[in-house]
Amino acid sequence: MTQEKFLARLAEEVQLDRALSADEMLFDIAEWDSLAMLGALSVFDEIGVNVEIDELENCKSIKDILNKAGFDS
Amino acid sequence: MSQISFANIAITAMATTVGNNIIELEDEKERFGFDDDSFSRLQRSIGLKTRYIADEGVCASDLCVQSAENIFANSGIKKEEIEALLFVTQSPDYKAPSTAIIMQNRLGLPTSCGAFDINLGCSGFIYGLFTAFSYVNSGMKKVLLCVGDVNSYFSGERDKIFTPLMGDAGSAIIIEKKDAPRSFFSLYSDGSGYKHLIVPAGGARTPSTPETLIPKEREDGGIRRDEDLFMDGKEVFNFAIKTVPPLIKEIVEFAGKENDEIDYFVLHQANPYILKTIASRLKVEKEKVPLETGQIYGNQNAASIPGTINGFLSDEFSSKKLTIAIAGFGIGLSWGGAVIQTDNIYAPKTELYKKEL
Repeated sequence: MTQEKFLARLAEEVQLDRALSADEMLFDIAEWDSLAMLGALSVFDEIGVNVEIDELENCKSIKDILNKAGFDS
Repeated sequence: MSQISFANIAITAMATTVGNNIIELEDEKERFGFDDDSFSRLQRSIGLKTRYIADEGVCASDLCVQSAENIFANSGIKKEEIEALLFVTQSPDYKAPSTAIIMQNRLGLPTSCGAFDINLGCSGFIYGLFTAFSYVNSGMKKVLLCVGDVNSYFSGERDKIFTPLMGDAGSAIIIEKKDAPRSFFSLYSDGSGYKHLIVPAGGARTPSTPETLIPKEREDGGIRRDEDLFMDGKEVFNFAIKTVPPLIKEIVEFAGKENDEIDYFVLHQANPYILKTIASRLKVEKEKVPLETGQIYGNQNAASIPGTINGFLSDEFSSKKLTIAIAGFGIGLSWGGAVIQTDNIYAPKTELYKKEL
């Protein structure tokens, strides 16, 4: 999966009506809550990367999430 | 690691009764204080549609008695053959005596039948089945296992975190000595996680007071009494996705099988989201992992595995030989799994509770 596709899937699972960009901070995204994190987990599962909710809770930015997914943003 | 296998013991009948009130989640928005946005997000993420709830005053034992009577009326199994009645529940009729003993009398089972309750939730079917298999292994010929809960007993009336997920069900299962392939069980417990799913007050540790019966708004936004069940959703989700895939791998290996020899992976139906995540980590065909029970009936607690079989796989189990992997996980924390084979068992479709019984 490309980084672009990953971000599109992430936006879908977080239930955003817009695209996500790599330089966004998570505290600026009102929809980034525990439900969104569950959705994000499923995107990680799609690319075969095991990540725990605790790791997502510790992410501060979309860049952090991309790094966890193995993308060098 | 407790891995036990049994020879020549089998499930021969399984029936489930659910609460007769079908509640649309949409109709509960006001009760739980959901606004439109958060409700729609919840529906999309968790996938809940309806749940089946018992009338006030109907107990888990009532649902299980109806299921057991269904079996006795239609399967050829006779009440006088039953040598033990095990009842897995967290919503007993009374704090004492064991509800199983009351059920022995209600069902007209012989007084030579042993009966007692097992206080477990989501792992309860596995533990109850293991116990029943052990009793037959020790010499009994037929055991009646009942598993069920009426979740309103311990869920907050207005708790939007837990209550919208829950449904009421009671199942009855017959386990008996007969020629059958080996079955394989593995059981686990971790009491360090006891606070993640707990009814904090009303027991001996923190007795009931007028204060423990007052509903309060909690940090997670749920409204609960101290005598209602608290669930730390994040911890429970983490626990489930960490323990269940390795448990299934372990139990299938213990049984000497590969995943493609397993016809169904019937897991405790906690909620559709947990199941989808576990199913994707198991890397098996989606068709082998039923996950609709929570969306339609609600989380049926210990009855969710038989509830799934009677609710969605009745025709399959009634007409074929099947090899299944089952796993229950949750309150305790407690978890367990088994690989068993069934052969054309009596497994009618799930029924609604009938008040006149």
